[in-house]
Amino acid sequence: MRLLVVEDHPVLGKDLKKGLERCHYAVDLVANGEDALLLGETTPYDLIILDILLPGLDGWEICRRLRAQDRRMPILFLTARGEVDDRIRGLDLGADDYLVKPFDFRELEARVRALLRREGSTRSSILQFLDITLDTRTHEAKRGKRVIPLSSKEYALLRFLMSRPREILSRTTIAEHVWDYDAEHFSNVIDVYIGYLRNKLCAGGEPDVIQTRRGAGYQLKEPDI
Amino acid sequence: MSRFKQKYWPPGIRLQVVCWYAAVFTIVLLLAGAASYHYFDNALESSVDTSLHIQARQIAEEITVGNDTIIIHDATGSLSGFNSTQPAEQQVDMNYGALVRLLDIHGQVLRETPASRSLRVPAQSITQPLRGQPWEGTIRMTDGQEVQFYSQALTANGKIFAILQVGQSLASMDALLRQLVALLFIVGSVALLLCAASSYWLTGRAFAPIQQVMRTARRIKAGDLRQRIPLPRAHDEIRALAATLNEMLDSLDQTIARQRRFVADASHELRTPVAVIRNKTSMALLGSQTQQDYATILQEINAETERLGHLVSDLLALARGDEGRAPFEQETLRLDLLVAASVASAKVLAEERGIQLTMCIGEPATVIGDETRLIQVVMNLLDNALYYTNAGGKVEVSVDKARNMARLAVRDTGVGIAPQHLPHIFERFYRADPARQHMAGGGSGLGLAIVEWIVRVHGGTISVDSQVGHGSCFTVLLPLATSAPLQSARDAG
Repeated sequence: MRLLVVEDHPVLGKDLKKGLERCHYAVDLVANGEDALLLGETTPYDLIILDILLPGLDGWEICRRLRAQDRRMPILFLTARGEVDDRIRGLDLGADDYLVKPFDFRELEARVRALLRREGSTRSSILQFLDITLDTRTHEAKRGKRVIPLSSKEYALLRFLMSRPREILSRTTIAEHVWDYDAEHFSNVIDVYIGYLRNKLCAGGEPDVIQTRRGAGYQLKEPDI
Repeated sequence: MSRFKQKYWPPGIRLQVVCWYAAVFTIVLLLAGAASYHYFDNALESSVDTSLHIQARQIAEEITVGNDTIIIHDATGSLSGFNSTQPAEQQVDMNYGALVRLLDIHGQVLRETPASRSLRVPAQSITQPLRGQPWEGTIRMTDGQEVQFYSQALTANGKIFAILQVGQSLASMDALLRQLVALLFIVGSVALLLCAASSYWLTGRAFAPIQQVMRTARRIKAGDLRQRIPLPRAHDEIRALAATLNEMLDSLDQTIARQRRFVADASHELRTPVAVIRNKTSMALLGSQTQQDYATILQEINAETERLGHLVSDLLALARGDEGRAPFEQETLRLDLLVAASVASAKVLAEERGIQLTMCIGEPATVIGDETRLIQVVMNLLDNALYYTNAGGKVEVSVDKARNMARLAVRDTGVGIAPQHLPHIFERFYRADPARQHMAGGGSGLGLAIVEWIVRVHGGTISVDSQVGHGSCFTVLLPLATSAPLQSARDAG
C-alpha cells in the first residue's frame, strides 16, 4: 500500500515516513503544496495524509482539486487546526478523515488501516484469501496454521495482492503500490520478489495461488484443479 | 581606515613576502649593529687603557725619590699645575686637563693636576696598588661624565714610596660611539627601505608567470575547454602549476563531453519510442481499420510506453545516483539466495530463447546492502547475458567467496565483446554493437551503467573478461557482511 504524506515540518514529516515505513507502507513525503498536487494527480496512491498549512497550495485546495479531478483515494487531514468549523470544512471538501495534532501515532496508523480497509472487500483488519490470512495489525501472515515469516517488501507485496484478489495486476501497478517514489520501477525485480513470496507461501507443499499472466502481470487466484 | 583595512587585510602574498623580508632584514641589521657596537666599544676602551698605561709609565719615570723627598722632573710639560697643592678655585673641564694624582702611601695627596680635584676616587684605587696590584676602573663623576682611571704604586729599591693615579675622560669615546650608532641607524634604515623595495619588485617578477597563467585561464571559458595553458620552458613550480591546471582542464573537458554525449544520447533514445508512438497514432487516426488493427496498434503503443517508462526510470536512477540522492537500504542479505531467486525468475526467459541457464552456489555468502538494488544488479547482468547469447548457448551463474569478498560471476557463451569496447562497456548508452539495439528485448543501454553504479555504492567492484565469439564473464565482488558497511551514496556517486 502506497501512501503520500504531505507535511512541511521537517522533523515530523520524516518521523511519519519512518513510522509508516516500519508498518510496511511505501511512503512518499513532500513538503509543499504544488508537489503534493502533482504527485496526487499522477500517482495512484492508496491514501493521502494531508497537512493544511503548507507552502504553496494549502491542504484545502489540494483536496478540492483532487476531488474535482475525480481522484478517489482516501484523504486524511492531519493538522493542528482543530476547530469544529475546520473539521466540517475538511470533511465537506471530500476528505475521509480528520485527525488533529497532537496525535498518537498508533491512532494515526489505526485510522490509516481503517481507511484502507474501506477500499477492500472485507471490513475486517484480517485479510483472508483461501487458507492464507494476513493480520494488518500485527503484520503476521499465516497459511492454515503455519506462520510465514515475511520481509518488509514481501509483506507489502502480499498485502497488495490480497487487497485485490483475482484481479490481474501488471508489474507497473504493483510497482506503483508497493514501492515508493525513490525506487524506480523495475519489473524484473518484482518477478524476483514474487518468486520469494511464492516459495514462502508454498513452503509446506501447498498449491500455488500466485498465477503468472504472461504479458499482463500477476493474479492472486484459486489454484487450477 | 576601514577601506584601507579592507584593501590590505588580510595582506596579499606579495605584501606578506615584503613584510617577512623586512622583518628578517631588520633582525639581521640589529644583530650586525649590536656586534659592531660591542666590538668598537671594546676596542676603544682597550686603546684608552693602553694610553693610560703608557702615560703612567712615562710619569713614573719622571718621579724619583731621594732622601725621602719626591722629585718630579717635568720633562714632558704635560703636567701643568701639577706642582700646586692648593685646591683649585674653580671647576676645571676634565676633557682638557690632564688627570694625574700623586699620593703618599697613606693616601694623602702630594700633588695633583687641577682637573683631578673634583674626582671622588674609591678607596680601592689606593689600597689595591699598596698590595702590589695596579687598579683600573671607570669612575662616574657627579655630573655623569665617565673617567677611566689607572692607579699604580711607585717603587724604589723594592719599596713603595708613592701612588700614581692617571685618568682619562671617556667623553670623546662616547661621542664616537654615539656617532657610530647614528651611522648604523641611517645606513640600516636605507638598507631596509632598499630591501623592502627590491623584495616587492622581486616578488612581482616571481609572480609574473602566475599572472600569465591566470590571464590564460581567464580566457578559457566554460564553452571552450579545449584551450590549454602554454607550459613555460623552465621546469619549475609554475610549470607544475600549469600542468596541473591542464590536467584539471582535461578531466573537466572529458566530463563535460561525456555529460553532453549522455544528454544527446538520452534525447535520442527518448525520441525513438516517441516517434514510434506518434507514427502508430497517426496510422490509427487515418481511420478505416478493423477493430483488430486498432487493438494491435494499442498493444504496440503500450509496449513502447513501457520501454519509455523503463528508460525514464533508469535515467532517473542514474541522475539521482550522480546527485547522491538515491537512498540505499542497509540490510543483511544472503547473496546466494538472492541470486538463486533471480536466476529462477529468469529461467522462463532463458527457456524461451533456448538458452541453458545454470547456477552453481558454492557456499552461503552474507552481504550488507539494498536487496532491491542487488536484485537489479543480478537481473541486469542476466538480461545482458541472455540478450547477447544465441539460442543453444549457455549462461552460468556462480556465487562463492574470495578472501573477504563475495564473488558473483555471470558467464555466457555469447557473442563476446571486442577488446576496444571493453573499457567503455560500463558507460551510459555505450553499445558495442549499435545494430543490436533495436532488436526485440534490447535494453535501454543503461543496464550495465546502473550495475556499475550500484556495485560501487556497495563498496564492491565489477570487472569483465571477454573473448569475441566465445563469450563474456562479468565478475562482481562485494564486501562480506563483517568486513565493510555500505558507504553513503553521496561518497560513491
